[in-house]
Amino acid sequence: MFGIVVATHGELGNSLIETLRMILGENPGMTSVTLEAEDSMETFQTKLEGALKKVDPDGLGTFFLVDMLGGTPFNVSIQLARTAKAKVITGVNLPMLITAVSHQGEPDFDSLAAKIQKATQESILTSDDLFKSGR
Amino acid sequence: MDIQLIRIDDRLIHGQVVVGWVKALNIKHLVVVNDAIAVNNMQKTLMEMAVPTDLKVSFLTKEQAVEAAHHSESKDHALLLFSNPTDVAVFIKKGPPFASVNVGGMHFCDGKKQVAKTVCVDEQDLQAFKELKQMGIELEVRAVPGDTKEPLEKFLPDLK
Repeated sequence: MFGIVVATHGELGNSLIETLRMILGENPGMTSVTLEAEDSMETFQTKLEGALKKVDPDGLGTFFLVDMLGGTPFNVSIQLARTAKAKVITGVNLPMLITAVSHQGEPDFDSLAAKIQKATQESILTSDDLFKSGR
Repeated sequence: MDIQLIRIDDRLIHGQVVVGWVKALNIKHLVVVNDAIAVNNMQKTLMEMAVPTDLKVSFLTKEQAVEAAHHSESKDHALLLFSNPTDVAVFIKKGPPFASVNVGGMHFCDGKKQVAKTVCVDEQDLQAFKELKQMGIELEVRAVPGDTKEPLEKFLPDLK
């Protein structure tokens, strides 16, 4: 099973994980890491490495779901993704997390990032889209 | 380049900068002034990935930054990012006059003294701040544009 680490500014990641627990229950293969205002990049990197070990002790592969392109959670996880078996996906939200968790047990790590990205993008709709499609 | 802000931030390009300062000051050009990063292609590539495509990013050594600040003819609003006050002091001494430095984040505290929530200093940092202060430069602590400016002297009484 692949690991999932939600990495965000402030409490966002914790809340997403909490919310997901309400919907899908406990899951040892996922955790959140939050960047606090006083964290140095080194502190945050240590937290992230700890999370990686926790959710993916066997190094099967981990997804870092980060809140925003260019933020510190992104900047640090993209560095880790160069060396660890891990991929970064930006713009985490509840549909993304649900999608990632539902694919967590699949065998092909490499194709999953694109799958999660596509499903998340397709989950963002306006009422105009919905009315047009005649739903 | 039309310098709008000189900022000390050891995270360099990150959320507070890209989303906060760039939008508030209508920045078109981010300039990372750091001798080590200016020659590190991997670091540069990773940082460039993190920036929206309509924002220009440069990675310059201190010398190159001084040169560019004096001679660049571009009128683009620029934000200069430094990782420490020592580099800023070198730049301000040789560069065109500039009145103020934003102390955004000096988070790395190992072996340093924490004087504010996001400001840690060692002796070298303190000397650099003193030097800037003697040049009449305002030193203001603010993470994001909407924060109230706090004078660095409030946290570092040695500066007074």
